[in-house]
Amino acid sequence: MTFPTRFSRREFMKTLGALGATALVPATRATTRELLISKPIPSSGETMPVIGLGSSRTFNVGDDIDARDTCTDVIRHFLDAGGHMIDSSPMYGSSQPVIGYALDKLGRSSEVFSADKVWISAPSKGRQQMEASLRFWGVTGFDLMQVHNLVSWQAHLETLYEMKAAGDIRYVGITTSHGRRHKEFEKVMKNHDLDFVQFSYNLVDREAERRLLPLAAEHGIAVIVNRPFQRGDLIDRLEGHPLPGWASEIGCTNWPQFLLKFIVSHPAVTCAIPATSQVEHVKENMGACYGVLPGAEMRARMIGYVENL
Amino acid sequence: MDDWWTYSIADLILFTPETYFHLFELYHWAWWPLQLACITIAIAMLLCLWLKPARGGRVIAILLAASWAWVGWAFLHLRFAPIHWVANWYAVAFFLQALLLLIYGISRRGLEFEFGNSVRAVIGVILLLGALLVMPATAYLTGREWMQAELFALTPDATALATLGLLLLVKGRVAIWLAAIPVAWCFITGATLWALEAPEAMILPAGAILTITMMLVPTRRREAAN
Repeated sequence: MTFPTRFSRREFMKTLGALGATALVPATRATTRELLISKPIPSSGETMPVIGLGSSRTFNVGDDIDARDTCTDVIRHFLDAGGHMIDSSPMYGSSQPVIGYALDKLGRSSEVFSADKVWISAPSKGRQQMEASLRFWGVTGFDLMQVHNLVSWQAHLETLYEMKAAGDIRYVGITTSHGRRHKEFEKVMKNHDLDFVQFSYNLVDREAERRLLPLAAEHGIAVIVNRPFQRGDLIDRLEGHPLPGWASEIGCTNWPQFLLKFIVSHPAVTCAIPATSQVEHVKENMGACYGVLPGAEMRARMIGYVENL
Repeated sequence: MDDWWTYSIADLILFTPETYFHLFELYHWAWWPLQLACITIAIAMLLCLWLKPARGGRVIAILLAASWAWVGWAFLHLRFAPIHWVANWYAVAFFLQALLLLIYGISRRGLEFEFGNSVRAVIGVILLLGALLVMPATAYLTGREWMQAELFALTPDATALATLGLLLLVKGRVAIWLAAIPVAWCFITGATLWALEAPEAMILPAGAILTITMMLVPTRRREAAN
């Protein structure tokens, strides 16, 4: 190791500035996160910004370096805006390696609440798949591991409980989407110790309000909402219509924020995980973390407005 | 996956249209100028059909087998599998098709082609020429880049459709067995493109339905006559 023998004032000030900036960056990010609307994970009390980042389809770009770099930009803006949870699955093709590529390039894996899934029929191969997922992400452990779409859930849940007890993961969850297997999902929620559940819920598909959301509140389970925009179809449907003037009362300046605020304002919902491959969209989505959330009356008004379009 | 029946087609297509079509572009750039060799193969097959040299049937079968094997390895396994978890199974099916074509190619009689004035032969020629000449232009005609083109012997759809066209010109029941995997691929790719909302989604399923109809209808008539 060598040390500079002479240190000019300019070099000294430059170094001091760099050190100051380095020290300031985490503080700024922490402050940013403190400003966001967050909700607690019921089983631990740890708080989570209400908007996370999904990776289904959007991050599945294979080995295309340009597309990987675009995904890296999306993650950079997500983290800069105070975002925390990134969710993926082995089912999503190359999404896991792409997340790993981005986190490695940004050097910011420690800022992420990593949520992944086990999705394999053979229970004996569950651990092997999760180890592969760890390698793809380039992290030492996952914060949350979920059984994807209830595939072989009995055996996988046992494995996840063992991993949680050993400190390999911090939270255990199950997932479904598009309203699949809700009855079985309910049974698992009632009879097993879960930290998180994940399912689809949005302004025009409110089936989860009947059973799953009340059940999650009753059992103290955090809720992650997937498909908040119905894979973009809902945005496409609403884009031609004007945002109501009263949307500004809850700090919404565009349809994605309107839709996301509706979702995360449900008392049982912890966060929503819209997926995108565009920086502009992640900025819009993170905008839903600011301002106020609609109350029951405003939520009813939001439903009425969209249903009458 | 033990709950596959609970998924819709769109649920299983976990990539965007942009990613899928860009895959073709990257693939074509990566293998350039192999496209010229593929065009040469197509011309060689057409010449074998037209001039009917002594072992033309064998040459066509072997060239087709090589095309299926190449597409299975270079496109489906190397390019498509990283974004689509079932693509390696598709690759296996393509290798199997290559093997079947090779077996017939090196068998004693090889594939025997016949042109007549039958509707079946006309449809066969239309499908073959459509695959070789029209399919490369579909990407451009639907607003995409030329480098995203479907090309016989390089990409799966054009290869499958050209194979079906050729099989409609083959004598005997062997054509039916050799058509099974290409027909299946036509429906798979049709479903994929439909989920991606691509305008050309129905081209290959339509080609497959035409092929099945042409292969089965005369057989049934003969059976009914007996």
